[in-house]
Amino acid sequence: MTYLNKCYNNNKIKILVENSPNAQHIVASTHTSFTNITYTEIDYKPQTYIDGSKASFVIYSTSILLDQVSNSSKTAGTYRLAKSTDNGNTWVEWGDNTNFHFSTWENCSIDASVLDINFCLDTASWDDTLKLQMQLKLKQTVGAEFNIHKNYQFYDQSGDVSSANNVYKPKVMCWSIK
Amino acid sequence: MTFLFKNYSNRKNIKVVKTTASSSTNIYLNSSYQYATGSRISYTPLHNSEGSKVIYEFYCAYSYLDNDNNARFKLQIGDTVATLGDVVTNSDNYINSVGSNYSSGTLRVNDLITLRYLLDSWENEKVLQVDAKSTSTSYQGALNLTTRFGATGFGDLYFNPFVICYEIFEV
Repeated sequence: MTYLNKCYNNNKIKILVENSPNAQHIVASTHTSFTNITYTEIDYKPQTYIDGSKASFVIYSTSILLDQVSNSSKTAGTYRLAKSTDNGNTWVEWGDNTNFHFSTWENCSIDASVLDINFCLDTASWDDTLKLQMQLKLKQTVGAEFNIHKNYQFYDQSGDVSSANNVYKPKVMCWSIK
Repeated sequence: MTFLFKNYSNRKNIKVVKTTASSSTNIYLNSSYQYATGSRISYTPLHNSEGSKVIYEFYCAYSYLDNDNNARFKLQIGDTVATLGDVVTNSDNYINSVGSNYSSGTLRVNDLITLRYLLDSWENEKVLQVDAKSTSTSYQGALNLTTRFGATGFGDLYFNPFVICYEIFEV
């Protein structure tokens, strides 16, 4: 047999990019329980192949910007991957070590960063389309307050243009690995 | 910027290895290089004769232990685990770092890290892994967990590291 084309896509790549994101304001006084992170939601079902087998893993990836809202605010938070089997009505954590901390509550935290999140998800019990998204919560009584998707101080050649709509387009992607 | 290739094909010959993290797989980095748990993969390029390149990607979490903290990473390759060595002399282009190495530059880092390397293809199976260290035990960091928020419900969180290898072609 001769393969006419060695380049084929059997990874069922799905990518969503929000071109006009609104900033999501996160503050410790109100976000002490897990909150959905906007634009990180995606519907996905693992790839099935011509022999009837299913992908062994799905890679969930998202890229979001975090930036402080003042010179003293912190970006620290605890993040988790969540799933919904009822079209987004209820969400539960994915588990399997998909919770993590970013930055720190203490002094010397990271002021701003693009947070690239990648998880390798098992598919053994994943047979139907699921909704996935990231959630985060903050620890109360500390100075954590930041925006997601929007820069705090943003400079171009004319100087500080922080009042502009200086957002970072969030991306979310899933793809399958056999 | 120089582009090595103008156009790559889709990923082929994809292999992934995922490691479930626990108290036995996290790493408190020392001042000498050690295996970064979860980064090891045995990989055989299938398209070496067609001029393929191999992409190695390692996904892990990094956490501070000391207020000033860092990690150094370098890719290793060999026919077996026992024969692992630097990809090239001094690991040029295959060595990275995160964090600080300066006591007045304290930065308590908790973050997810991706290391991605491009290699020329090869024949037969080879083992690849990342070795990691901190510059000293006074600047110690850790892998495969994020840590030290202190309050109830905000303690150490493990992260399952994974490594992906695949081939790409110029088309």
